[in-house]
Formats: sequence, structure tokens, C-alpha cells
Amino acid sequence: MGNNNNSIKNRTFDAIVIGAGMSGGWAAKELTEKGLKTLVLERGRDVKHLVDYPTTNMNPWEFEHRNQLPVDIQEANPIATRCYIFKEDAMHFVVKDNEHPYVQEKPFDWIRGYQVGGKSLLWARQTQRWSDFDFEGPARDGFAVDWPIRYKDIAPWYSYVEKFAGISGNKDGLPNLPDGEFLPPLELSCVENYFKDFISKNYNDRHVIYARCAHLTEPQPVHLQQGRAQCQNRNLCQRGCPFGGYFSANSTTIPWAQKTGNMTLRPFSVVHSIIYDEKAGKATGVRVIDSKTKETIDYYAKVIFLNAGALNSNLVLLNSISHRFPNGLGNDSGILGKYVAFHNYSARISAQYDAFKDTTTDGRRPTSAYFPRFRNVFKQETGFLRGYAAGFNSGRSFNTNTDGFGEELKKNLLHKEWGPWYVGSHMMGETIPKETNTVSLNSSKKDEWGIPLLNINISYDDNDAKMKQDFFEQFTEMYTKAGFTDIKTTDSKQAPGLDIHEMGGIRMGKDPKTSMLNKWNQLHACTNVFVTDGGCMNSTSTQNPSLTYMAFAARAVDYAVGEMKKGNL
Amino acid sequence: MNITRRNAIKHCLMISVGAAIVPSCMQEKSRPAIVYKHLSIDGSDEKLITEVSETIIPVTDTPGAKDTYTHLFVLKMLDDCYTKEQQQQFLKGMKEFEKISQKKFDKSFVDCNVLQREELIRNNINSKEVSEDVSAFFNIMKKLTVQGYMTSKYYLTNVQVYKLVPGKFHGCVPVTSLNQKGASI
Repeated sequence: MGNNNNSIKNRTFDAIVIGAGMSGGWAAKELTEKGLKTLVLERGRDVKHLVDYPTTNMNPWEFEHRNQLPVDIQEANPIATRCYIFKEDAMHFVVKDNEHPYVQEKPFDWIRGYQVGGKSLLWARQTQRWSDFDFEGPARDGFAVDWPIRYKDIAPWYSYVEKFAGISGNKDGLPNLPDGEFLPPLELSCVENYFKDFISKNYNDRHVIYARCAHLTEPQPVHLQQGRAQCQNRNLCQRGCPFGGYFSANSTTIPWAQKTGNMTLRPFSVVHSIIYDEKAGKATGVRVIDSKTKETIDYYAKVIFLNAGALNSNLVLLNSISHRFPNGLGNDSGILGKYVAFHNYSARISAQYDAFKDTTTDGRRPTSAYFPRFRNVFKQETGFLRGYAAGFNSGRSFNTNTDGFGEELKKNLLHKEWGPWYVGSHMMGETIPKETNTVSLNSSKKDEWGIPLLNINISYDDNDAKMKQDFFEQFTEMYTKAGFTDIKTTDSKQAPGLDIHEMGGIRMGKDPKTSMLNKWNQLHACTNVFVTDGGCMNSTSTQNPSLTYMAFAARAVDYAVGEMKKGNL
Repeated sequence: MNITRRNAIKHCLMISVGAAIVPSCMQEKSRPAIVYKHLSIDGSDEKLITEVSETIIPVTDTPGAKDTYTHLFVLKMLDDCYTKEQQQQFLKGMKEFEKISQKKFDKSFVDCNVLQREELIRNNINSKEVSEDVSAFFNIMKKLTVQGYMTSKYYLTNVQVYKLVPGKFHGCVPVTSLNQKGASI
């Protein structure tokens, strides 16, 4: 047993971070920078920046299936196959279905990235701030519980993480989508600019903006210091970027933490539970199962940051059973694992625009335009609660005529003719957290490490259906008025989860009776454990959530270290 | 870019997996040049698929299917990216097409001259007279040949230039500023 082989001293740190992904990377960076000896646990393998990106410099013709998936891989992985990232070039970064099974009490596509960097290697890199219209949502509209913080509490931390991560954006001056610390935006296309002007002329409360995204359009000294370079618009981000052009934990926070000399990174470490000391009344460490040797090892620290990814953080707390906490660590209220929510990404619209025929775009752009939420922002005005944001993208490609065979076909394929501009939007809808949307421990089935499987019981509701209908109506109307043609709406009917924005279950709140975490992301009932990943989210709003997790992580570490210095932790 | 005998042998060696398979490249029949995971075909089937592919996109003053290794892509995709049922139907259609060739010209498709091959394809590729299996054979052959050719190194470096590192993105440029080669994708 590892517990006997090593002295307790060697297994004792100032802090432990569970999970080396988007938010865990930030916790690691902040803790180590503040001088704490920090153990970072990652259940998957290490993925070193530049070194472990095997496909990053491959040309399309070098992929033997030209980026398609072989049938046997598809058949073995029906869940992962539904994810747009799971292609030949990046499938090694996506968890295969049999690697960590779960129980779908209702259909849920749980997309995961078990490796150092987690899903930060694979994300869509969209970084929109929340505003008070988001933080005040639950209180105003009467769902979930009131957020224990407001925009002013997190705004400086948004700035802090934006400057370090490198966020490209335009100062748009919108009250519902606050401006940040922006590097220059990339260009919009002529059609995107046309639609932007059209919307601002025809709608008072609607805007088309450049989507803020985590790309280095103009690296600052701190980014160069990280070893990163300007984004080259490859738009192959999911392979890992040889330039470090976008923010990932691999390119940014983890190497930074490493450089402090204070980080110990331990891959292949599946966390079984957080160890609670009944006498001390706090957590004392983390029980790990080495995924290779199946050995159980306990590690100890004064403070623990849980950043396993929203649902896995729920799983860790649920499985952290003690006499004091028979229903999961910090779960006096019975709230743990409930009120899980996500984003509704199941609706799309596409069309053509028969104008600007003499122009096109040149190159690839790793982002798009963005349509911030306009429904129910300033007041409740529709038959459904909350609203949706949307992407707005455009482009032009060659028409390919594949008629005939032989010389005729060849002539067709070699002759290039520009097709029309296409435009498209996808809905990013807020879902309302409900007590009935839950994750829980399965009572009989266990994984290969002896940890109960997670039951996932999450579904859409009527509000989601009404909102989707509204998206179709509003966007069809706007597209029509703008002169777009051949408008097609698509209801993908995808299960929750495929949005990869699962949130909640360990929500923040003011009252320990109705929430798990306080305003510092600290467990009400076990104050040296902090949760700063998606698990902490009390509501989802419409923005892509990672930036908010990063800000929560940095803010919570700052608080935790302050409390440690005061002797309170 | 006509394939010389030397190139053909070099090419054959390139695609062969393991020395034991190399001699089959020089043989007329039976043993396939490639090791297949799922597909059960022999050397003559392989040759038929290769030549149908070449007839769909032939070498002219520019490279055809074989020059661009498109036939290898077709075989790879058939092996890995089609279900057992699709593969079986494809092979049934292929055998039936071979019979059509025997009936029409009293020889295998691969032994036909270019004009005969073209005639066989022209008469069958979009024909409503042929069986579903033959249609499936041609649909897959054409789809994969076109896909393989348009994603080949030749096509993406000479016809529509793929830039691994585009550098700049321009949101609005005149189409005339991009000749066809320069339109990066």
C-alpha cells in the first residue's frame, strides 16, 4: 500500500487541487504563485504543451480517414461520437464510452476530457462575461436561489483572468454583456457587418458583436512570458496549438504553476473521496486510487480545491461519506446533486445571402460573431423565463459540381465557382435549474476503481421548448427581414450534455439550508474545501461558462490564502 | 505525372505492410497488396477497385486517381468506415458489375481498354436498369473517389491550396484578389 511506502510527510501539501483542467489549472496557478506547496491531481494522463499534440501539424491528406471515424470506433462509442470534437484529429483527447461509464436515467451525453488540461484543450474558447442581469436572474424571476454575489464582486477577477489568458474582443458598451480587458478583435465578414448594421437599425435592444474569445490576437508581455505566440488562425485548436495561440491549461496555467517550483502534478489519480476529520471538523486530505496500479493513497493538505468538472465534482462530494456527512461532504441541506442545469444548444438556423457577390473571406477564423441575449433582459416580456444568446457566422465556399465521370468530372472538380454566402446561428439557451434534474450515486454499479457510477437524471422542460420555438421565430423573422433566403431551421433534438455546459449540483447561495457553497465558493459546512468549477453554478445564464469558472477559481484562492494567513483555515 | 514502372513499384512498397506482402505486388492475382482489417477482398478485387477509381478520375494532363493515391484512400475507407452490411452490398455489386463486363466484352473490367471501361461505367453508373447492389457499388466508388481526390495532397496544394498556418484572417476581400489557388481553406 502506498500509504505505508511513503511517510505521511511526503504525502502532505499545503493545498490539493482535484482536476487539472480549465478551473483546476487556475487554482493551481494561483495557489503555487502565492507560495503554497500544491498537489494537483489529474485522473487522466499528462498532456504536455507542444509535446503531446500528435496531430497538430498534420495536413488533411495525412489523416488516413481524412478526419472521419472508423465504424468500429463509432460503434464502440455512441456517446462520444455525437460530440463534434470526436474526430480522427482529436479523438485521443475525448473520453471513450467504456472508460468511465455512467447510468443514464434519462438520455444525457456526458462529454469528458480526462487528461491534464481537461476540456480546456477542446473548448470553443468563447469568453463572454456575466452581468447583473444574469446574477440577479434567479431572484428576479423566482427560481433557484439568489446568487450570493453580484457583478461588482467578480468584475475585478474577470479582468485578472482575462489579462493573463488573453481575450480578444471589442468594447461594445452593452450593459448585459460587460466589456473586458480585450486584445484586438478579428475582422467580421462583410455579411456579418451588414447584419450587425441591419440589426442595430431595426431593433433597439438587439446587437450583433464580435464574439469575445480566448485567442492571442496581439500577445502582451505576459503571454510571451508564458511562451505563447500570436494566434495564426489555423482553427485547428482541438488538436492543441503549436503556437499557444488560444488559452488552455496546458499552454498557460499548468506550465506557469510548474515554473513556481511549488506544484506536484500527479496524473493517473482517480479521486475516491475527500477525507473528513470528525474531530477537527474539517477536511484533511484526499483519497486517491492510482488508475494504473489500483493502489489507494491518501494525500493531506490544509485546503482542498475541487475542480473535477461539474458532474465529477458532484460525484466526489457524494462519495465523501463520513459519520458527520452521511449524504456526502457538506451536504447538510440535501441539495447536493440537485438543481443541475445546462445550456440548450439543440436549435440552429441557416440561410443564404445573395449579395456581396464580389467579396469573400480569406483565411480561417477561430471564432464568429455573437448575438447577446435580448429576451427578458430588462424585464420579463415573454411566455417563458430567461432567454438565449446565439452565434452568428458566415462564409462562402466553392460550389462543387460532381456530375459525370472521367474527364468531364475532372473538369468539373478543377473548375471552381464561388457559391453564395451562407449564414448560420446556433441557440445558446439558459435552462432553469430544477430539483428534479439530479445526479446521484448508483446503489449497485461501480467503476473499475470501486467508486459508484453516477446516475444522471436530467431533461429539458416546457420552458426550454417555448424558448426554442421563440428562437426559431425570432431568427427566422430577422433573417427574412435582412434578406436572407433558403432559411432552414434545425431541431437537433440532442440530449442534454452535448452542449458540454453541465452546471450546478453544488450551488452557491447565501443560506446553508438551500445551498452548498458560500459567496467564496467555500463549502458552508466544511470551510477548507472550495468548489470553483461548473458545479458551483446556481443558474446558467447564456454565456459560455469557462471564463466565469476561471474568475471564481482565482477569486476563491485569493480568499482562501488570506484566510489561511489569518489562521482561519 | 504519369506513373513509371519504378514509381509503381516504389509506391507498392510504400503501401505494403511487412516484407512478406511485397512479392504480391508483382503478382497478377489473388493476394491483396494491403492488409485489411474488415474487408475480405483479393488482389484482383483490389485491382478492379483501383481501375474503376482511375476511370472515374483518370490521368489526363493532370494527375488522376492513382497518381493522387486516391485508390488507396478508397480501399482504406471501404475497410474501416463502412458497416459490414454496406461492405457486403458493395462487394456484391462489384461482382455483379464484373459479370456485366464479362457479358459485354468477354473479359474482366481490368482487362478492358480505356474506351471499354468508360463504356461500362457510362452504361451502369447512373442506370436505373442495374440492381441496387450495383448502384451501391458505384455510389460508394464515386463518393470516395471524389472525396479522396479533393482531399489529396495534389488537390490541396495545386488546385485549392490548403494552408496549415493561414496567419491572417481577412473578413472581406474582393473575390478577384484570390485566384483559385490562393483561396485558402
